[in-house]
Amino acid sequence: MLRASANAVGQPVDVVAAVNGDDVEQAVPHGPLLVAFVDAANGGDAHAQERARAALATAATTAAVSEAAAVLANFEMMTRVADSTGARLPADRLISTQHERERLGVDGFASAR
Amino acid sequence: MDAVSLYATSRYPVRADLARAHAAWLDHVAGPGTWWTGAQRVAFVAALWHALDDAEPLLAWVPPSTVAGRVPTDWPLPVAAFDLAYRLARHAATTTEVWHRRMVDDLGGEPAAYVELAALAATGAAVGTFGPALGLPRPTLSAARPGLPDGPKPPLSPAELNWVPVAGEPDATAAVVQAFSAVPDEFDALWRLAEVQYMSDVEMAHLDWQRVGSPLHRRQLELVAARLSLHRQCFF
Repeated sequence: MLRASANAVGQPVDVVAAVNGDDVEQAVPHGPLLVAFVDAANGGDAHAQERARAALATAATTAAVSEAAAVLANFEMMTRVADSTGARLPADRLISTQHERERLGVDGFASAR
Repeated sequence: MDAVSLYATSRYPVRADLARAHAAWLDHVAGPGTWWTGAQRVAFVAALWHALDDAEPLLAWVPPSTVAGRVPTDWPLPVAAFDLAYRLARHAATTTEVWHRRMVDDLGGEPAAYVELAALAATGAAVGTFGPALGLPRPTLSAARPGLPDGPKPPLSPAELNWVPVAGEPDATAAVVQAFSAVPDEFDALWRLAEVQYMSDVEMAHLDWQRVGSPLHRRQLELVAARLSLHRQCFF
């Protein structure tokens, strides 16, 4: 969806670079700050979390922090939907996502099925 | 807790529709479900949230019920449900089909009863991580309401795209869409949250969609989604 949504606005993105937090500012504004926000939320360091929120709020807006938190929460939900019910990708999606999966190492996840 | 006060102390403005949806979910959990009572559902989500906070988490293959003192003495569900809450809180990506079958058996043998708890784990993870991501405490769970489980129980069929059985035509929609269809009340609760936290299925089709008033573009939402999914090691 990241690749498709970037293509839709004429800003093709290297999905793997973006997800890894590389600077792809033109394709995904504030991308590294959003990645840092997610990473901090998944760590146990409250100071790092506050720094990540403050950096995102300063660069974007305070509402950007709560909107990012909402999406984070949603995918805490959706990943568990998939993993608790054994969700599988249909064959055509396995083919269309093969390149990115290999680069991200996703095929090595325990949840690959 | 009412919607107005739920995130009132946040330094980052929380949309009213999102606060209302989370407040409604807290109320939904506290009532009788399709297979489990309100007291059982509240206890299950409390165990899930406690597991999310575990500073020294157990390894994925160590059920907490095998560790002395982990399961509360007044735990109101089968012990397997405590292990389920813990596994889905801390190690969801390590679940297997064999584990799922054993869990269904240990919960009493009804696949849809497992689905109801899995749905509470998924939605509970959302509501349970949103506040902390903003530096806020988690909301307080509502007191359980009395009553017997009595939700709708549609006819179910096996699916190719999921371990769990589904209502309606199997595999006619994406695996994550049909995943909780066996328990319609939990299916509805999940998608009500998804609409306000992310977007509706209608909006999802518009790749340049942006929520009115939101500073984040679609591709920024997708980056957050992808990075979080990477953290969770979610293949799907």
